Amino acid sequence: MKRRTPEEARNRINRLSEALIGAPDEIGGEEAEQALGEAGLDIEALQERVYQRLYAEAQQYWMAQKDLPPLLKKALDDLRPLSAPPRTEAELARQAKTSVERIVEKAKLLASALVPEAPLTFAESYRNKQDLTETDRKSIDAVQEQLKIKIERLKGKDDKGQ
Amino acid sequence: MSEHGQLPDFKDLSKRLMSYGLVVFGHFSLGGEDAVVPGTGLSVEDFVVKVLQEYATGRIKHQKSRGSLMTVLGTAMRNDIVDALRKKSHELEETRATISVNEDSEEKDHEKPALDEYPQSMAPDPSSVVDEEEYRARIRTVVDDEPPLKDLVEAVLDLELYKPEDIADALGTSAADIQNRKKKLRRRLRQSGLVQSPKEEGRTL
Repeated sequence: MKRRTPEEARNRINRLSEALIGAPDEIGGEEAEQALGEAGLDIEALQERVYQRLYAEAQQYWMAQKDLPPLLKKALDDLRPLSAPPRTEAELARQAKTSVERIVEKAKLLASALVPEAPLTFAESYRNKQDLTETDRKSIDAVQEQLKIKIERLKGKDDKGQ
Repeated sequence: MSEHGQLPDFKDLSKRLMSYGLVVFGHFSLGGEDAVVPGTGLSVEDFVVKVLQEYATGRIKHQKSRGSLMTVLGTAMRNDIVDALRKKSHELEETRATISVNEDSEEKDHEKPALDEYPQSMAPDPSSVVDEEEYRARIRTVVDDEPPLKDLVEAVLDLELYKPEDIADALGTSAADIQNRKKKLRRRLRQSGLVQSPKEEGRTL
């Protein structure tokens, strides 16, 4: 067999690789997010680490009192973590919006955890109590009915939200 | 700058490059959360940062004729990974020679390489992972239990078909189905980064 140069060998493997798994741009944002999730990688933490390393690169320009290359500046702007102090009003607004969205997301998760999926059944042992009057029973039944309606309404909203 | 003269979204790029890097690592039997190129300590994240740094500082230029920005950066990263593996395999060959000379000599005991210079027993052998024959064997092992992926691999490796349309014709299916199979194969490779070819399993480092 003809002995290939390292460059030729690499190009051969690259050609096979692209035919088998596609070119790099065949991986879209959605697939990437799914892949990183499956690998147990926190995307935000990853982007923060990338930011820190690009920031270290930028420091060399600042120390040399040189302007940042436009692409490096854009990279730092894009990857700037939400925990970093905002520099402009637009950044402040973006951070606030993201924080509120996260709180709402957490509240939704909490609500769906509190509201059971299974059909509701209430404990009705109180009906056997001897010292309850008919009015007491009616009041408790009414409270039970109201609770049922409230929870069903909550569940309905939650389903629509999903 | 992107091919349309717009500045790219680095959040999107970093995500997609990381995902592609995981697939490339999977190709070379490097998998798991803390996978690194043996002997270098370089992870997928290191390669992603390197390529983004080079692009952001103008050391990699995006020319339209070379494809989309993601393709240019992804290809540069893949080449970096292969080069790191190949360079390490070259160094290992030299280390092995030194180890075999020193192991028989008590006088030269102090010259023996440090433990971390010996290849890690669990790590794939870099000299084999960049070998085309080993590469082919490894890919076949990964898809052995899934006929649609096996057909795709055979069409590329045995029939040397590279374009989705040609592969689709040979397999009697559509190009869209081939794209789906490629997506599945990418997933499979990310998940099975630790799969070794039969030849590698028998090897003692």
